[in-house]
Amino acid sequence: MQVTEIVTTVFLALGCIISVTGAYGLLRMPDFYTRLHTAGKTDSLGQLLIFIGLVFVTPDLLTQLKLVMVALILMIAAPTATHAITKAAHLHDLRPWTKGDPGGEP
Amino acid sequence: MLQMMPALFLFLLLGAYWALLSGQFHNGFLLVVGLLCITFVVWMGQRMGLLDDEGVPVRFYPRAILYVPYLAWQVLLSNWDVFKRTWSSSLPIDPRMARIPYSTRHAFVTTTYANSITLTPGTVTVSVDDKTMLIHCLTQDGEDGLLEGDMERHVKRLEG
Repeated sequence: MQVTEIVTTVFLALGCIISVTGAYGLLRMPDFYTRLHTAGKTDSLGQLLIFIGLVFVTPDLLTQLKLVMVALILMIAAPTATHAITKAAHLHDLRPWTKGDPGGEP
Repeated sequence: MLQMMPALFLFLLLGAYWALLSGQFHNGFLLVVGLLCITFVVWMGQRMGLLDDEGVPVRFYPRAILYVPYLAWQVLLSNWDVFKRTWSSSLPIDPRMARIPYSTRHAFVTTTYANSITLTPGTVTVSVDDKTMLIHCLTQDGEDGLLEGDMERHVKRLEG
């Protein structure tokens, strides 16, 4: 097994763990706003780790640069989308869940 | 030609982007067509008045590269924090809305700050007005960290 394959496997595994955490948090969090926080984990770190992992097994330099480019664009687009969704909810007067409200405890 | 520098930089950026996505350096016809497309886009941008300091914020790019490592570290730290809270059996969260004052002047820097807040898990920028940002925080710690202003200090280095 080559070193690059080991590095890729580690990065992909970490990315998967982060993404699964994002999905699990999405199910577990009590309301709309808090769910976006865990969804943001997949946005920021999960996809970045997966893309970095893939760079190591790509032989072609141009494809490697494209992968990095996709990761960078997602790093800018994802928080912008998260902000837009949150702002839409806020403008519709969706009240955030706070500690002590029913329905939040696991 | 009023906005020569932004036009030139946009031309170079689009050229690099085209080269990255196509990789067709050996085909003369495609090179010429790519060049024509880029020129057309820059010309349209000029006509639409997009080539100003906000549309092509080139002067912030060198310092933005220095900002990326700090941001990456913050993303790692806050991911770890939310990771622990998500898998903890008691779900130790205390969500709240908070108003955070900000003092960045330029639109690009303010946008970078708001995006950085959203990018780090645990805090999401809901809305931005003239002097404050409305932030939804997952915990009290997240709010305190932003009020402390460490991230804002780093962002303000972009302004020089």
